[in-house]
Amino acid sequence: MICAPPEKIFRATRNRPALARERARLARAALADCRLCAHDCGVNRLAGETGLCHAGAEARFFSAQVEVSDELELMPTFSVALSGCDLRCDFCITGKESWNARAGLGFDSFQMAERAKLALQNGARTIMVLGGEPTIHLPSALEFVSLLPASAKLIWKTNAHGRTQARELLDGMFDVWLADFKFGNDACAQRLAKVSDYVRVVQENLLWADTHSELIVRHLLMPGHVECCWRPVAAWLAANLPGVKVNLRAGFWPAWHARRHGEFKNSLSVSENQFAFGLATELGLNLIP
Amino acid sequence: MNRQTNRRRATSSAEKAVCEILILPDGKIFAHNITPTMAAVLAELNPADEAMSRRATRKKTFKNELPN
Repeated sequence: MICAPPEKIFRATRNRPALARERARLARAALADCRLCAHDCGVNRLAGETGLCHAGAEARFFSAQVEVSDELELMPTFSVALSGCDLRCDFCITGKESWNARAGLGFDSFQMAERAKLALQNGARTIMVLGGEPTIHLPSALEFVSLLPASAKLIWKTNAHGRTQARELLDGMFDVWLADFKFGNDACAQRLAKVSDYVRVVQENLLWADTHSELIVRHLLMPGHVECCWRPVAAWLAANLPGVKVNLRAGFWPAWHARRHGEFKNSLSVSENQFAFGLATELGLNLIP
Repeated sequence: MNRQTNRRRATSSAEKAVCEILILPDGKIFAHNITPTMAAVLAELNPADEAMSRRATRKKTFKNELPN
């Protein structure tokens, strides 16, 4: 008899609310010398200083609603999008709010938790915290988690550009890490998102997330970037995270400042799309819808 | 656009459900932040889109999608 290998199942710790409360306190203190993301700015956000993300000490949000856009196994999800990000992707679909940490409304953890709990009662399967990038708002995100039922399935939607400090604070807090691997090389990351040392940082985060939670990796196919970005990402995933769930997304939308880049004047071609999915199959990636 | 208008827009997008749709000249439709109701509309537009149909079916099991 051939037995399939057991599927890894991660459940956040049963005393998550209490632990999250304590972590939120630590995360807020960390803002005095903010090194939550890999930019490693070291600014005192509690004293009004801002680093590359321009975020202050208090989180804001620009969207909170039930959605069915995400992976089928996660939806419907109550999705909370915090304003601001530590990357500057020119093609960002929510660029106006993601580039501006002051966009939207002040984030009240208690009120948002009430909305999230109501959404769960009404049929939402999961609660997703995203941005922008939620890592830069770790204190508020953890305060929010502390107010949610321990049994709720929580999703951390991230650009995977955090540092060790953020990961330690996040350990055991979210059931699923839904992490982007956007660029297959540092040159594209620098040109399109103004970020250096991108590939190493993301790989480090993905390897960590795979051993500390359930991991789903997302890659958005970009016109003109199948060879330089998708191919190396796919090859690395096949070699280093075999079997990891991968959501290969083909709906590139020339949003925000995408038109600054010649290759983004068109949408993804049919041949690029076919090649990208063919490569995934060839490498044995575990694609999920 | 003045600052007050900007603020009003920001407030409304955070307080209300928002789904954005882009229709290209070749008829391709892109959507993000899809609510269950919008998934049902998009599934009607292209019944052959199996993925959207599966998203739309979730609406049947979800009530009161705007818990405000």
